[in-house]
Amino acid sequence: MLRKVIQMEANQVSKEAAVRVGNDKTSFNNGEVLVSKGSGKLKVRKGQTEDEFEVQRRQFAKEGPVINTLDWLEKIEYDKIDPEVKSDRLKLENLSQNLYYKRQYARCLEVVECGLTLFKDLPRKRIQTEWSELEYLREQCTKKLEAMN
Amino acid sequence: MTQLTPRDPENNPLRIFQRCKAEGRPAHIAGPMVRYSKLPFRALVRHYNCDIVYSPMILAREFVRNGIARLSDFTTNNFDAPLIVQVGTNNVTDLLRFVEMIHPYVDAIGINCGCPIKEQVREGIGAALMSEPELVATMVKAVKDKFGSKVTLETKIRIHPDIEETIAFVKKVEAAGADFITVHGRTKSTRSSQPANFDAIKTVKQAVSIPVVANGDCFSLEDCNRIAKITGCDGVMAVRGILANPALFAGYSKAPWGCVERFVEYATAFGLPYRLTQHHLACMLEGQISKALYKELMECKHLAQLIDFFDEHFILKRPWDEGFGQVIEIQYRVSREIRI
Repeated sequence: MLRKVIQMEANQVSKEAAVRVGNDKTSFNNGEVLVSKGSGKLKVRKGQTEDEFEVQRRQFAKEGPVINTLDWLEKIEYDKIDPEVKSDRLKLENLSQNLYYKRQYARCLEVVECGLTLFKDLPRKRIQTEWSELEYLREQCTKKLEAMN
Repeated sequence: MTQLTPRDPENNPLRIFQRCKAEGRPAHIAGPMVRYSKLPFRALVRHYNCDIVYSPMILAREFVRNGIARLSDFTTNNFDAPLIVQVGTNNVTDLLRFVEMIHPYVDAIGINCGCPIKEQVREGIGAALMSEPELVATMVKAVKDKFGSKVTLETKIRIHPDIEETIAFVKKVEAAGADFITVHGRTKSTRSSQPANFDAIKTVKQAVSIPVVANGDCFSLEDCNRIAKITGCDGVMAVRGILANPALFAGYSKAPWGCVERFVEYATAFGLPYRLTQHHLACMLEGQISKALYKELMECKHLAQLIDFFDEHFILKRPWDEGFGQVIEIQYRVSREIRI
């Protein structure tokens, strides 16, 4: 019964939203649109004001897209890596993978150690895959370096 | 910091269609694949006679609102050309804003009106637009009114169950200013196991005067030339075919080993989420290696393990090795019996 009431209320909200938004996709406005969900209910996708867009536009105009050259990973500055930021952690992970592929095991080991130190205080659950790959790389690089000596 | 050079007008798809026509062949096009047409794959197919390459579909709504989405959706470099970025959108506002932001970095922009994925269709994106010709025409016109010839605009559609509806659709989009059209020869509910309808594509080609690209069932260079001959189209787009064999437009019947070597280099240099790297390699090698090796490949948990897998079983050359990227047959390191 309670579920039915909630559903009826939700449908009412959707109908009101439909009237409010007007669902005009053909005019230049704030981009707020109505879409249908899997359940059949309508949902409002939030708009974006001109000011909000301007912030994004300026940021992208200033920074541009990410440029990935064949050597972009080698230019990474370790001291600027923020372990809390996923894209930063990814850079370090990509660099270690790239060095491993290039068979530069000593440098790879340095990067791996740096990563393991930087990420050590993060909840392990959050970085499980990254952590296990770094540990794997440490073990493999150590083995390969020992075999070389 | 590396700067991107301005786009070369020679990389405009319309210019490419002209050049290919002069050479008496269709333009070879690597179509957009959700997730899989990222930078390493785009760089790879350009080694193999591919004239135009698409990005995966990027959702305009996310791109214009979210810096993190931009970071994961679009990376590029000065060699990433000719490039068409495909956009998923359901309204004029997001599209105009998307075009404004991205057009300096691409050679053309394609509106996705054909993606049948239900999550997108529900949002009014992709194949949902097939039943909204007015909206598509309005979006095309809005872009052309604002950007004119600075932006080359394509729309990619599927055919309707009634071809007359498709003809009315493309005529409307052409009148609105679209520069070219790509037609997938299936309806939004046709399964990929059913053959693409090339007669329908031919009918569309004859109905408009702008260039038309044929899409569907291109798995080899022979398929490409046959499709071009049947449909009379200006270009042929491969999607599933080029995922399995990125060298198909160069005349290879299966992914050459050199292709695998190049892909591993690009994926490790540019960076690519591990599961995508694994999937690309699995697609290239499926049916070419034994089931046991294929299973082992699929069981690799991360890229480092995958690199070890290749080095253990195969001779995977690096860019500084002589003959890197050149070999056709798979280069096994292990004894023959393990392969079978």
